[in-house]
Amino acid sequence: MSIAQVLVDSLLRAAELGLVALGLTIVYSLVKFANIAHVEFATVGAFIALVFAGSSTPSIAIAGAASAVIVGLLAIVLHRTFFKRLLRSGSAIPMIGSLALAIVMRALVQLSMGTRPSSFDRPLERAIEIGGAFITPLQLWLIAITLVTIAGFMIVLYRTKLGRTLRAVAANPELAAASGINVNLSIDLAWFFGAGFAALGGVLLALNTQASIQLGSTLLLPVFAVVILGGIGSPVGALLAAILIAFAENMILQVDWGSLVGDSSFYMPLSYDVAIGFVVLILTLLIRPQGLFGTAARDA
Amino acid sequence: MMRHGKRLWLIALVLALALVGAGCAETDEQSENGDETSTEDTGSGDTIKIGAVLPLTGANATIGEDQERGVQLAVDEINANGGVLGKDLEVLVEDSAGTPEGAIAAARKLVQTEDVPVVMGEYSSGNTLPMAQFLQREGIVHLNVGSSSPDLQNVGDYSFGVIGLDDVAGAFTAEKAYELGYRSAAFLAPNNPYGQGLLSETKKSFEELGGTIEESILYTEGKNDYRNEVQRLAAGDPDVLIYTAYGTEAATINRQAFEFGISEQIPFFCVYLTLCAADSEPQTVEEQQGIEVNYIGPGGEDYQQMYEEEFGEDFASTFNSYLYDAVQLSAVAMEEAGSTEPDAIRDALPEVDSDYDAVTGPIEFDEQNQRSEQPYIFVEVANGKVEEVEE
Repeated sequence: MSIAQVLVDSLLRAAELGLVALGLTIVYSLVKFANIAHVEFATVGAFIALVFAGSSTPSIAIAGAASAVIVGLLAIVLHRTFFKRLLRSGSAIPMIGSLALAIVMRALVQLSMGTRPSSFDRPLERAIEIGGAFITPLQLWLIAITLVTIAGFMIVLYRTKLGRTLRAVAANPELAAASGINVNLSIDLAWFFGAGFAALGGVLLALNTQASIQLGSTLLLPVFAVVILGGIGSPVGALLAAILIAFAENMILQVDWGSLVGDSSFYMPLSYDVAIGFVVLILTLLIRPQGLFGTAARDA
Repeated sequence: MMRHGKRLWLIALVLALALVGAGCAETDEQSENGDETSTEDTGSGDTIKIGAVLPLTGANATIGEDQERGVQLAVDEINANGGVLGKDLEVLVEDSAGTPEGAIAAARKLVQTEDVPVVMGEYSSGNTLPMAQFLQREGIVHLNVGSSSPDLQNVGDYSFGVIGLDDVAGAFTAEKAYELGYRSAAFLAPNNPYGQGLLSETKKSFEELGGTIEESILYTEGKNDYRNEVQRLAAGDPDVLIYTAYGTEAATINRQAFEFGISEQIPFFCVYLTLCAADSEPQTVEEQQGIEVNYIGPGGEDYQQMYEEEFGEDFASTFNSYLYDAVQLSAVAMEEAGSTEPDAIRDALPEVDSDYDAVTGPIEFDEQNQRSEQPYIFVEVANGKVEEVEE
C-alpha cells in the first residue's frame, strides 16, 4: 500500500471522526458531562436525511442540512427536558442517563427504520488518482464539506462575539452569568451545534457507505478516543486527535510490518481495527489523562 | 488532577457499558416484528401450526422475503388440497433480524407460546447453528433451509438439512474456479461458522487440485466499509477473488470494488451468487460469475411457473424453493406420522424423504439427517440477472 493512499485514507477517516468528535467536545465544554448518546445523533441524522433525500445532489444536500438542524433542535429539547434535571446531581448521573438514552434512541431508530442498512440513491462513480492515491469524487466532497464546516465553526468560536460568549461560559459559567451573558442560551447553542455536527457527520458517513443502526455505536470508541486524546472540551485538540487517530488506524492496518516481526510480509488482521481506538484511549488515560490540549483538569 | 483522572476512568467504564448495551439493544424486541403468512389468527385447534424463522430485516432481508414466498406457495397449495391431517396448515413466520440472538428469541417464541413441533430456518449459518442447538435441547424438529456450515450435521437427531452443506459447495467452487483457469486465489467471507467452513473446504479442494489460496480474510459482519479488506486481498494480485457476503454487505463490497476499479482488475467469483447480487447495484456485479444451489431440480418446472404467476417475476433468489420443499416435507411427515408430535415427525422424516417429489431435486437424508446430494450450478450475472451458464 502506498504512503499516499495511507494519507488520503487517513484524511477521509479524520473527516468522518472529526465532525462527530468536535460536536461531542463542544457539548462537553459547556455542559460538563460526556454524552454517550452523542454518537446516536449521527445515526438519527443519517436516517432523517435518508427519509427526506431524493436522488438529485441538491435534494441530498438540503436533506442533510435539514437533518442537522432538526437533530440540533432535538438536542436542545433533550437538554431542557432530560439532561438539565440529571445535571443537578453532578456529571456521573447524566452520563449514565445518556447511556440509557442512547439505547432508547437506537431502539427507536430500529423500530421506525428496521435493522436493514439503507443507502442514499446516488450514482456509481469511479475513483480518481491523486499522486498515486485513489479517492472517489464524492469522498473529496465529504472532506471538503467537513473542512469548511469546521473552519466556519472555528472562525465563529475564535473571531466573533458569539464565540467569545461560548468560550466565556465554557471557562466559567458563574462569572459569565454575572457579566450579563445569557448562559442558558449559550448552552442551547452548544447543544444545537454539537448535535448538528454529529448529525452532519452521520449523513456524510452514510453517503460514503450506508446508514445502519450501528452507525453511531461503531463510532463510539474512536470518537471518545479522539475527544479524550485531544483533551476533553478542546475543539482544536479534537481535530488534531482525529487526524492522529485516523493516521494511526490506517498506518497500523495498511502497512506491511513484515520487517518488524522478522517475516517477509505481515499485515495486522483487519478485525483489530476497532481495538486501535480502544488502545489509544487506554494509553491516553494512563499516560496523559488531560489529553494533548487538556483544559478539563482545571474544572474538575 | 486526581478527580479529573477518576472522571475520565468513569467515562471509560460507561463506554464499556455502552458497548455491551449496543450489543443488547440490537437484539431487543426483534420478535415483535414477526408477521404471519396465514391470514387467520386462530388460537384454537382448527389449524396445524409449524414455524419458520427468517431474516425479514437486517442484511439478508431480500433473501428472507424470498424465502417467505416459498412458504406461502407451499401453504396455499397444501391447503387447496385438503390441508394436513384434515386441518389447514399454518406457518408462523418470525423475524430473526439477521442476528443469532434474534433467531433464538424468535424460535423460543414459536416453541414456547405457539407450541409448534417444527421450526424451519434461518438463513445465515451463524444464526442457524445456535437456533438449531436451542431446538435440539427443546426437542423440536429443525429443518435447515438455507445454511451450509458443516457444523450443522453434528447438532443432533432433531436437526435435518434440506440443503447441501459447505463441504460440497466448497469442492464445487474450487473445481469451477480451477476449470476457469484460475490458479492463485484470494478469499473473502464473513467471520462466522459459514465463512469459516467455506474457507476451509474451498481451500482444501482448491489446493488438492493444484491451486493456492494466498490470502484470505474473514470479514466482520455489519460494517459499513470493506475497502481495506478488498484492497488488501487485491494487493497480492491473485487470478481471482473467491468471495461470499450477505446481501447489503455484498452490496458495499461490490460498490467499493467497482469504485476503486478492483473488480475490473481481478475477477470476482461468488459462492451463492444470488446472495451476492441480491442487493448489489446491477452495474457492480455485471458479468460476475459464481456458483449456486440449483433453483429447481428435474420436475420443478411447475413450481417455477407457480412462483412466476404468483409474484409476477423470475425467482428473486435460489432459496425460496428450499422453503417450499421444507414445508411440503413437514406436511408429508405429519401425514405419515398421523401426529403433530415432534418425536413422531422426527421419526417419520427419514421414512418419507424419498416419497416426496422435491422441487429442488431429490432429497434423501444421510445418517446425520443431512441432504446427501445437493446439485450446484455454475452461474453468472447477465444483464442484471443471475443466469445459469450453459456448458
